[in-house]
Amino acid sequence: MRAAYSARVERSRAEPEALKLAPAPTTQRPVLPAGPLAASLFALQRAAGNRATAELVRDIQAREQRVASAADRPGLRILDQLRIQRSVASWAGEWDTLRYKTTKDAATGKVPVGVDIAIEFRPSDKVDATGIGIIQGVISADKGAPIAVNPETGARSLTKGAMKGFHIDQLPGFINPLYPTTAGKAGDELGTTPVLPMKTPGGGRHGWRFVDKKGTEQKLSAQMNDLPTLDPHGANAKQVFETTAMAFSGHQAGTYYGSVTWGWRTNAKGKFSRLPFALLSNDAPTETLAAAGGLWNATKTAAGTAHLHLPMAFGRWTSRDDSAIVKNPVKAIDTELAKVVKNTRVELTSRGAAEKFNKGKDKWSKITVTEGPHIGLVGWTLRGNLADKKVP
Amino acid sequence: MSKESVARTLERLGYVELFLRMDHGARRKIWSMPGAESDVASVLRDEGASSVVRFLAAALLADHHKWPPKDLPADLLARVYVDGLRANASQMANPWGLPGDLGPLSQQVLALGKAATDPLLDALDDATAMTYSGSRDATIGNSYHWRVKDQAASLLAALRREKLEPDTNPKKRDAAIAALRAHVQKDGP
Repeated sequence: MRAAYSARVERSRAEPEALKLAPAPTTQRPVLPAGPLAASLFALQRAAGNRATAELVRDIQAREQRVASAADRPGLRILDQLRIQRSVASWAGEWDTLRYKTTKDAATGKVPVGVDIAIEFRPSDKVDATGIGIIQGVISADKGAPIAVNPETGARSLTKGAMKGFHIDQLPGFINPLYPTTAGKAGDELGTTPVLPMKTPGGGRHGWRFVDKKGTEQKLSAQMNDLPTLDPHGANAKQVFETTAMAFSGHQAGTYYGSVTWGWRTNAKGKFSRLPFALLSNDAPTETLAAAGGLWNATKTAAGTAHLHLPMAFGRWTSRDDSAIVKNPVKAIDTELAKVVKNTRVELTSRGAAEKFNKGKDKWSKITVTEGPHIGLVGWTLRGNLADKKVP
Repeated sequence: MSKESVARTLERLGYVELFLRMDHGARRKIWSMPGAESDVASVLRDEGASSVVRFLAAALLADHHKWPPKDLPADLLARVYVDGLRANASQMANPWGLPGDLGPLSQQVLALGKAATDPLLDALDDATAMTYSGSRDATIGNSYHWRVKDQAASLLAALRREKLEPDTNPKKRDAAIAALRAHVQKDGP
């Protein structure tokens, strides 16, 4: 596949002039510690009973059930068609479909076998990133059980639970988890691997949004297209996606901008339904995608090449009023950026395990605020200020 | 278990159930049966069995044993694999590899060496469409409108230690296939 791409590739940084005008981007993206994080994600994935995972899976299943039921009721079909294609907003911008339609089999042109979709993420003024990439995970199943269309994908798919088979959607042999990228090579970073252009099947583009040194806003939406197919398939088949966008460079590097779900399924009678394009998460990706990302990071290609590390963020809440967010924990008092109230939603983008300031008693985590008056703010807060769920 | 029982099981399960599920339960069940190895080899040799069933028997052996097996002739195995390719016995094109790439089934054919040349030459006129499933795999694979003859040509070229660049235009691929056929017929495999 590598050779096939050569003539169709364009550089992801199609507008370098815009970037030249930008303030020096934060190239030192916050990278979560590979070992412990991978281990914890593996643990999450392997522990089918994990509460967070189970709750999430129930939520996704309930959503799918609602969709299937709606599509099956004639009176609601028109309404379902109306909501099948729409834009949805996350904390950081707008997700939209440029097209979203059912595709039919090649042999007869009559049997629905998948969908044709083009997705766009339009960053809002809350975003500060010189590079935004789209990542997506997928589960493909037929007759009620997941399918691994190639051994490499199978080796990095979730192996237990209701989302068994879910994996980062990337071709075998490819090392970059950002969807529209080409095969990649040693020395690549997330933003440097060339991408297939949006006009090419399976292509897209990276986006950005920042204010340059002259005070001018630079903005480009991130895009991708996909034609997932199971041809042929039977009853209880599905291809269900979680698509997300992440800042891979710039001030908010490592921050996620919400995720959407879409896809198709057949019911027990084989009736085909296209799933609504809907917001799945307002900020950090679901635990399912996080677990698939952990497997991506922990595995290699069949040829033994390591995958590029996919940073992962996790949704948290501040656990107390006046939770301070600082620029530099070494000079916490002098570099305080803001104080936020209890139960402010944030993304945890790094535990800062390698940072010198975390060698002592106080432990600091890097966060991005995703709601409230300080939305979009990036800084460090004491780990004790963060909770897995809202506090009373 | 008998040869007939194995054949029926393979026919009922198909490639997806045997090889593309997350667990390997179907294969484990077959191999756990007494005499399974001999029965599977018998199905592979049975000229009265369908090309799909014979292909599945060969793929089972490839999955279970060092490949190629010493006790089965390479030209028989090559014919069974190429017949399977032409009969869409893998149910989807993915196991053969995306255009420009050689997947697990293609690697098994290449391991048979020059014995695969004649059946692959025969397949160079077969324009049967090959369909990819999955997400990005399917999106990119199906954009090529890949055919049996494209896969056969890719394999023939690989046997000659050459590489056919997979042009997205089928007509350009046809020209490359014609040139490859001429080379093979002139130079030998």
